[in-house]
Amino acid sequence: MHIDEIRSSPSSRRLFLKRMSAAGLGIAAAKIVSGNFKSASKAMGATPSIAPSGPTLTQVQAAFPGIPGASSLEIVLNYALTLEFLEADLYRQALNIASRRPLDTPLDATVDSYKNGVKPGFGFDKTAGDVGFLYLAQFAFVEAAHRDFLIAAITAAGATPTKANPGGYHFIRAGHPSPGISYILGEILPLEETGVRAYLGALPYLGDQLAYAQVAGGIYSTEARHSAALRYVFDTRIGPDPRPGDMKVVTTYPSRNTFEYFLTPSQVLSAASVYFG
Amino acid sequence: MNDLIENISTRRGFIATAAVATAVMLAQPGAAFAVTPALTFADIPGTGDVKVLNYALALEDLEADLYIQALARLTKGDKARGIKGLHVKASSDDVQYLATFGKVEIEHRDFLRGALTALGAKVISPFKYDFQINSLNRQAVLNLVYTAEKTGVAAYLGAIPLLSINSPYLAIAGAIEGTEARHTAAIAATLDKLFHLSIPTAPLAGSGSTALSKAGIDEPLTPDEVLAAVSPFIVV
Repeated sequence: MHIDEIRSSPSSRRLFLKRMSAAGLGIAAAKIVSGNFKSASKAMGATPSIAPSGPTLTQVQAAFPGIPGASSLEIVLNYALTLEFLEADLYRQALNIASRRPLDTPLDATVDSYKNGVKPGFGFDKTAGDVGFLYLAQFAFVEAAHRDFLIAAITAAGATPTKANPGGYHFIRAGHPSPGISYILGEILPLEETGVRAYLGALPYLGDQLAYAQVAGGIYSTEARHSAALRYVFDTRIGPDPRPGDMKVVTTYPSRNTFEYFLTPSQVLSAASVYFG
Repeated sequence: MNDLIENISTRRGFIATAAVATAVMLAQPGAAFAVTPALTFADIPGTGDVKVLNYALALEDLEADLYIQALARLTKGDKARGIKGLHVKASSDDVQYLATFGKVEIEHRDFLRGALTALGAKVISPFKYDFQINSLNRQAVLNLVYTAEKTGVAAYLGAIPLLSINSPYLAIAGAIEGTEARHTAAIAATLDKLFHLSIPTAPLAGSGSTALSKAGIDEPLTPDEVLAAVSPFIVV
């Protein structure tokens, strides 16, 4: 049920008002129907810019440019998979750089195998640099697991998982002659922060698929944990902090770190394009 | 005993009379009285999104108060609340985090209360909490905060399917849940650093027994599971 339909069709309008009243949102619903978005969003505490409520397939296709899928669900899940392909591969490359392996080396069987053979300063004991390396190794395996999970989930839903980028992914500035762990984490962190914002921005598009929204939320919060952990290696400010272009889920945040920020799929895909080969 | 039940019933009017009539006071060490039987989602006022918002408010209320008590415990104490201070240095990571995250939880609480009030909905009454805080050392305080934040993440995830279809609160719940996840990671990292532990900052790939946990994905807890876990801290 799209907002224009709600406002133009009497039957949709009645259904919408009934549903919203049942949810205790009668006042907000009445304001939406009357076109009073500003005051409706105030009553709901939400900005209407996040996603259209109950978007049509055409709207979802427009919101996720270039992401394949015959249904809204398929498009949103493939959007997530597109990002997980990218994250998993850049983490793999970052881990190879940090452990002084050739860039195209696949992940080892387990995180623990990275304990052996790493250069001094890249061990698993608990100095700051070592914790950074540990996080890098752990999260590389998690991102690969997210990718594989999404492929399985999309297939199980009877949909077609998108493929990895044929041209691969570039770890920008990977040409540094001998990057230390701080440098490498500094390259990975913006990607994790974008991942957090990408999932939050996509979440409302799963508003009628709440079982999937729950799982997407579970992936999203691990990205938030990764961001916080990586930032902890540098200093104690673990976010969220606004970055240029960030969007808010409500008009005003009491403090900069009260709520996470989001990016629209278009913003994310545009930002991610620098990594695509 | 009848007077006590009467008193509880008045203070916590949303609990069904039948449940209160069968309630038994559980004496905890340290003379706290925990609510029993444990609260369930049925005890949370409202329906649909309002019920979910009230549930979230109850948890944010607990977290906000936990942070206030935990910060007092780690620093100079709080005479009025009978909290003895451990006098950890104010510049320590954990003290800084308790102060910062506590403020965030208060803002979550106040936001949710404001959202419910704006809707003209019934707002759940605040509880009193006893965390036996004076019996906890620095590590145990941080462990409790870590558990509360981790439970918060799982609680928000568990609440998502209970929202109405295309609820405007889905993104807001997500935006709060993400910050709880960051807090969880930071407290885990701090515990690891201070006490040489290996608590993972995020779920590890191949851990646990479910498809989600093996894929390194945060798992939900149902409201009843969460409320059963927090009820021992609620004073009646």
